[in-house]
Amino acid sequence: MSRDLKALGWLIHAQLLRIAREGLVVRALIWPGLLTALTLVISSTVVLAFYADNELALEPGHPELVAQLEERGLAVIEVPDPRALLDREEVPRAAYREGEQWVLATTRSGRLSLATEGVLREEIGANWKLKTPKPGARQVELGATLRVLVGMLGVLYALYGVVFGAAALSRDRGNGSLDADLSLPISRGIHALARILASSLALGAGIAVTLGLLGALIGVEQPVDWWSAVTLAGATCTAMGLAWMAASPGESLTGPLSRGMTLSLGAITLGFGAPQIGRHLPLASLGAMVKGVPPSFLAWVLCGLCIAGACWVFDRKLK
Amino acid sequence: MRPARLLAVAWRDLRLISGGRGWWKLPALAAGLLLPVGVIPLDIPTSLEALPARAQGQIPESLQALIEPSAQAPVGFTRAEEPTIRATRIPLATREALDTLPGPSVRIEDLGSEPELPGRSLLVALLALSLMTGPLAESLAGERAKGTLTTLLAAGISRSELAWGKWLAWTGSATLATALVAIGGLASGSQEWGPWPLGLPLVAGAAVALGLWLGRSAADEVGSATRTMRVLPMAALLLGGAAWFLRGISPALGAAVPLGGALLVAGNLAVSPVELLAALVGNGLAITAMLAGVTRALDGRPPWVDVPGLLRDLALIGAAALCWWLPIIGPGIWGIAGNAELSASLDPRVGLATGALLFLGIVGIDAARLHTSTGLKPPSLLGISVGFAAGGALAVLTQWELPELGLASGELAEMAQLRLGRGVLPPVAVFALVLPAQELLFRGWLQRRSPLLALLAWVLVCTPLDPVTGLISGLLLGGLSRWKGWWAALAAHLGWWAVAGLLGA
Repeated sequence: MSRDLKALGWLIHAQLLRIAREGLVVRALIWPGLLTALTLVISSTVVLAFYADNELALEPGHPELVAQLEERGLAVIEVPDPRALLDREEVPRAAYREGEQWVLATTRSGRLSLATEGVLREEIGANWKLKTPKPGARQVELGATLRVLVGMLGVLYALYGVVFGAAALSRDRGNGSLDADLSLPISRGIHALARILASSLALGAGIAVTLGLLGALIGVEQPVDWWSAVTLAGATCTAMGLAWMAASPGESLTGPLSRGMTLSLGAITLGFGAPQIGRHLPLASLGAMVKGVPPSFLAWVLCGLCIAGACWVFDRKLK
Repeated sequence: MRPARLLAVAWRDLRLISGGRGWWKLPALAAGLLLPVGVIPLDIPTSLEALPARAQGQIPESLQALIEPSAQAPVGFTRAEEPTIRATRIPLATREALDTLPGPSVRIEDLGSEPELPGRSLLVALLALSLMTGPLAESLAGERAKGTLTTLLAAGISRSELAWGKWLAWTGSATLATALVAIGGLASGSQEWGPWPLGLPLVAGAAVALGLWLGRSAADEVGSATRTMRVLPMAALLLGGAAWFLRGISPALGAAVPLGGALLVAGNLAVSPVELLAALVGNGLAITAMLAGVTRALDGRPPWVDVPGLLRDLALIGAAALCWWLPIIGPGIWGIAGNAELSASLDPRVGLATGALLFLGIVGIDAARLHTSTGLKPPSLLGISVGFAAGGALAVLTQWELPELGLASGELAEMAQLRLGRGVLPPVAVFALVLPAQELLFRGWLQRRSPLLALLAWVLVCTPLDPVTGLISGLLLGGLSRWKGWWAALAAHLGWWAVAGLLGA
C-alpha cells in the first residue's frame, strides 16, 4: 500500500512534467485565459475608439431636458434642425418634436439611445416608462454575461480533460511507453489514478490563472465555486476519456474522443437547463454554475466514484 | 499530383481512423448530432427583430395577452401599475406591444441596419467542424507518434499527395455527412432552398486544411488535439466575425475571408454569385496555402518565416510584460471608458497575485520543458547579508522615491501605482510571492539565458517609466545574483522594498 502511494506521488509528478514539457499543451492551458483577457481589453479599446459616440442633437429650448440627458452621459448639441444633423451623419441620434410628439431618430441603438428615450418618456409622462442602468454601477446583466464567458472557458478546460485522458493513453499505447509504465510492480489502477490526478491538477492550475486574470480585469463572482466546478468537470472528463479509451482496444482515438466530448457537452447542457439537479452531478455542475448555482458535496463524491470507475476499467479492460 | 495516389492516401486514412470493429460509432454520433439540428422543423427567428414579445417581472394585465413571461428576456417590468420597464434592448415586438398602452408616446426611428441572423445550416457546419477534432488530431500527429508517418513518407507518393490525400479524406467525409443533412433538411421542409449547401463543403475544406496545418508539427495526438480544440473554434469565431464586418464594406470582400466567408455562405448570408465566387477563390487559395505549409513541414524544411533569435527574445519580453501588466493595469480600461467606479471596485490584490503567479508559471514550465532545475543554489549567509544591505543602500541612493514593486512615478503611472501600492498586498504576501516571482523570472531564469536580456527585460517590464532607476537596480540585482546566487538578489530586492517603505513612512 505504501509502495503504491509512493508510486502514485512519483507518477503524478512524472505526468505533470510530461504535460509541462509539451509546449502545445502548456499553451493550451494558459492561452485561453490570457487571450480572453487580452481580447477583452482590446475590444473595450476598439469600442471606446469607434463606438463611444455620445452626441445627441436636440432642438433648443429644453434646458431641464439637457441637464438630465447630460447627467446620463450624453453630449447634447442644441440645433434648430436636429434631424438634418443626423441625416448628414454628423451625430448618431437626434431628438425633436413633431407636433405634440417627441421623435427619437438614431443610427446607433444601445445604452445611450435607450437612456435618451427614458428621459424623453419621463418628460412627457409617456404611456410607459423606461429605466436604464446608470453608468458606473455594476450591472446585473454583466454578471450573467460574465458567467457565460467563464462557463465557455470552463467547458474548454473540461474538454481538455477528455483529450488528456483519451489522447494521452492512445499516444502512450501507440509509442510503447504504456507497456514500460505498466511493467512497474504496482497496481494498474494506480497508473490510471495518477493520470487523472495529474490532469486535474494541470487543469485546476490553468483555470485558476484564467479566473485570476478575468477576476482582476472585470471581477468574477464566486471564484472558488468556479474553480471547483471546472476542476470537477476536468477530472470527470479525464476519467471518462481514459476509461473509454481503455475499454476500446480495437478503436482509434477518434471514436472515444468524439463520444467523450459529445457526452461531456450533453451533461454540461443538462446542468445548464436544470441547475438544481445539475449541481449534484460532476459534469453537469459546470452547466449549473453558469446559472450561478455552485456544485454540491454530492458532486465531489460522484466525481470520486467516476474516477474509481475509470481506474477499475483501466485495471480490468486495458489490453 | 496523381489522383489514384490521392484517393489511396484518403482511403487509407479513413480506414485507419474510422476502421476496425467500432467503425460505425463515429458516423452514428455524427448522425445523432447533425440530423436533429438540420432536419427537425423548428420555429427559429431570422432576425433579432423577429424575436417574440417577452418580458421578465410582473407584466401588466392589459399586456398579458401580448407579452409572454420569460426569465431570459432583455426587458423586465419593475412596476406593473404605472408600467415601467428596465431594459438593455427592446425587441420590436415588445415595443409594439408596449405602445398599445393608451397615452402619449415617443416615436422611435431606428435608422441603423438590423443584422440578419444566419440560417441553422451554419450550426450544422459548425457541429460538423467540431466532430473533426479527433480525426484531425490523429491524422498527422497520431501517425507521427506511432511511427507510421515515416513509412508513408518513404512510400512512392509525394509529400503534397500525402497532405492533399489526408485533406480529401476528412473534407470528403464531412461534406458527405453535411450533404445528407442538407438533403434531409430540404426534404423535411425545415430549411429553405438557397446557395447555403455550397458553403458546407467550403467550411469543411477550410477547417480540415486549418486543422492539418495546426497539427503539422505536433509530436502526438495530445499536442495536436489541444491545439486544434483551442485554435479552430477561435479561428472560426474571429474569421467569421471579420467576414461579417467586412461584408458591411463590400459583400465580396467579406465572402473572400478564408473560413469566415465559407461560414457566411453556409449560414445563407452570402448569396449572390459574386460572393459565392469570392468565397470559392478566397477559401481555395487559403486551403492551397495551408496544405503547402503542411507539405513543407512533412519535407522537414523550415517554415517560410523563420523568427530570428532577437525577435524571439523580444517576444519573450513582450509575453512577460503582458503577464504582469494585463492583470494589474488592465482594469483601468473601464476608468478610461468613463466607468471609474467599476475600475475602483476591482480588487487589485487579485491582479497582483495573478501577475506574480504567471511569472512563476513561466519559470516553472520552462524549467520542466528544458529538463533543468530553476538554477537555485543553496543560500549563503554572506550573500543574503550583503544583498540586504545593498538593497537598503539602493533605497537610500534613489531617495526612497522608488515605487513599490519596481514601477516608477509619473502621471501615466498614477493608476498603476494605486494597484501596485504598498498596502495592496500584505507584506508577507509581497515577500513570499511577488518579489520571489520577479526575482525568479528576471535573475533566476532570464539571467541564465542572457544577462543582457534579463537586464533589458527588467527595465522594460518592471520599470518602463523610470529606466534609469531600472538600469541601476537591474545592474545591482543582476550583479549580486551572478556573484552570490539568486538568494542574494532576492535579499537585495527585499531590502530595497523594506527600507524604501520605512524611509517613505
